[in-house]
Amino acid sequence: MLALILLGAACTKKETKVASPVEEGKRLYAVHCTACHAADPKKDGAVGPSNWGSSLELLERKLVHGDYPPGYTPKRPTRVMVQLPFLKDQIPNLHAYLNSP
Amino acid sequence: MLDSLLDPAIGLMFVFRWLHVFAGIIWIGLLYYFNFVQGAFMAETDAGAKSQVLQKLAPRALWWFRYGALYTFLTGLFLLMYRAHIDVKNGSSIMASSYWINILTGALMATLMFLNVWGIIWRKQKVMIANAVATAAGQPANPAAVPAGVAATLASRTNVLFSVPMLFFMLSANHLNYPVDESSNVGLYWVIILVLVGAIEANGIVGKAGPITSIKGVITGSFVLTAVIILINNFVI
Repeated sequence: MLALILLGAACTKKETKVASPVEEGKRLYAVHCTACHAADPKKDGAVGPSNWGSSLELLERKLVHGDYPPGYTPKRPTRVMVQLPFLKDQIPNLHAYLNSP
Repeated sequence: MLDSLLDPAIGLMFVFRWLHVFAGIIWIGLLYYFNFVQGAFMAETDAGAKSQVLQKLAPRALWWFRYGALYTFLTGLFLLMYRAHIDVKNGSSIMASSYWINILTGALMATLMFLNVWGIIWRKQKVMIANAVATAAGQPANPAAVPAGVAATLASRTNVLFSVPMLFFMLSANHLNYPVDESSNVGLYWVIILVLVGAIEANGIVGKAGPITSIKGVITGSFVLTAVIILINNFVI
C-alpha cells in the first residue's frame, strides 16, 4: 500500500516541463549531495566543504573515480566522500548549477 | 580509516551515531518484544505464570528497555546539537534543508517515545510489579494495578505507532534528500506535523487504544502514519 501511495505521489509531481541544465543540476545537487554538503553549495557543509565553482574535471574525478585531478589540493584532509558513479551522465548539469551566476 | 575516525566533525559524529543505533536497537527491540510477544503471552497464560513474568522477567527487560531509551535519547541529542552547531557556524540554513526537516520529524516522535518510556510506561509498570510481588506474598491486591496496566499498554502501543515513521524519517535525513528552498512551506509543514503528532501523543496519554489494540492494527497503523507524513511532506513542502 505504501508503494502504491508513493507511486501515486510520484506521478502527480509537477515536473512535466523540461528543466534547464542549471535547474536539473540544482535538483540533483539537493537529492544527492546535501546529506554531506550544505544545502547552499556556496557554504561549507557539516561533512563536505563548499563545492561552488567545481570544474568538470574535479566533478568527474570525485564522483566517478573517488580521487582528485592531478595537482589539486583537497579542501579537507578527510577523504570520506563516497563515489556516486551513477551520476556520470549528469555531471554537465551539476557543473552548470555549481558554476551558474 | 583512523584519520577520518579522529576528525571531530566526521569521526565524533560517526561514533555517536553508531552508539545511537546500538542503544536504539536495544530499546526498540524490547519495545517490539513487549508489544508483539510478551503482551500476547500474558493474555493467555495462567495467573501463576503471569505473576512470575511480572516479578522476575519484566523488571529485567524493563531495565534494558528504559536505559536503552535513555542512551538513545542522549546520543541523539548530542548528534542534533553538534550538527546544529556546525551548520550555524557555516552559515547554513537549518529551516530550508531536507536533512533538518527529516531528522527533526523523526526526533519529534522519538523524543515523545522516550518521555512515554520514563514518564508513563516505567512508572505504571512499577505499580504492576509491586502488586505482583505483594499478592505473591499473600497481601491484598492493589486496585490501581489494573488501570496502570491499561495506561502502560496504551503508551507502549503509541510508541509502536510512532516507531515506523520515526525510523523512516531518521534514516531519510541522510539517505533520502530532496530540494527545499525559500519558497517551500516549511512553516506550514511543521504546524500540521505538530498537530498530528501531538494528537496521537495526547491519545496515548488520556485516550483509548481503539484500532491499535491489536498487534496487526498497530503495525498497519504505523505504516499508514508513515505514508500520511510522506504525503504531507510531499504536497506541503
